[in-house]
Amino acid sequence: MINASQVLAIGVTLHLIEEAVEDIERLLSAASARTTYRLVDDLTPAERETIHTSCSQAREALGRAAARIRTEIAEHSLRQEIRGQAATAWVTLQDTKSDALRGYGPLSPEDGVVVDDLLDAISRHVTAIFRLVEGPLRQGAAGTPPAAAARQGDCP
Amino acid sequence: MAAEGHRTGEHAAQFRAVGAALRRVDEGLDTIERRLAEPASGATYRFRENLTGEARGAIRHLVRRVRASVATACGVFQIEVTDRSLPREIQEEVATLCATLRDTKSALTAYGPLSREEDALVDGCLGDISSGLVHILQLVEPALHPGSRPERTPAR
Repeated sequence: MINASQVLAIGVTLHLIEEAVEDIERLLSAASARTTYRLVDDLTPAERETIHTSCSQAREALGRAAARIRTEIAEHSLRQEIRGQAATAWVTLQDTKSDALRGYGPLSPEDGVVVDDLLDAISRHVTAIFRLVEGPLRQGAAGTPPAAAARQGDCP
Repeated sequence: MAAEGHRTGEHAAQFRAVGAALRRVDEGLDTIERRLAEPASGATYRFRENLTGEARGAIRHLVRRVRASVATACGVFQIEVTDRSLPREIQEEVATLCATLRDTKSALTAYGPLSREEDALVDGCLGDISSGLVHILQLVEPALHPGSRPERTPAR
């Protein structure tokens, strides 16, 4: 039988593919406007239907492949996933504050305050999301201090 | 800077930096919402349900507040809402996956030799998935070249 490293390599690939197939299904079902972008739905109903069918077939093939090669089912923490997204958003916002923007050219102190106030307003809500999910990562581990998270600064 | 709102003047690079940051935050919010809404398992993964219903509701509420703050910032900085094409998004996802599948097969021998049977097993499993993905690619291709297709749905 193929060795453990090979199984792991295939398992990672299958996982990436499953995530992407889910992304495609999500795109098909949620063509809409977000705050910063708009997804233009320029597929015909017939094309959408066929893509849906292909996604279902790809999922079935994934299930068959995972069973035949006996890849492990990866276990993720919803809490950790959301915490990671919030932390990334927070870092992105901090990296865009007035000090960083001055690297692109001069910025008056007044403009710097405007930028920082707007980004801080977003950061506060992102921090609140982070705080909500910074508890123990594993169920049943209540009371475990989220030390690693808490050490990472103001928010993340 | 913000009040002037010019995207081609001396602050153009700073506007772009803020716009890019806000888009990344917006996409991060998409991911959080998706994780909260999606089924918690697939063929290759499983999410530990380690958030209470109350926490989920609170996170959704905060996500809406972050979006409102992002929208405010977008208005102040006159960040353009970008249009994304659904077929283009799908094409990029699928093309990346096809390459990943190819790379996986060729990388497996780095972890050890494959017998003829093992090679056939891997080929069968990955080929099964690949053929479905190629079908999706073929489907979205005409949508990327509108002149080649008579029937179209109006873009939203």
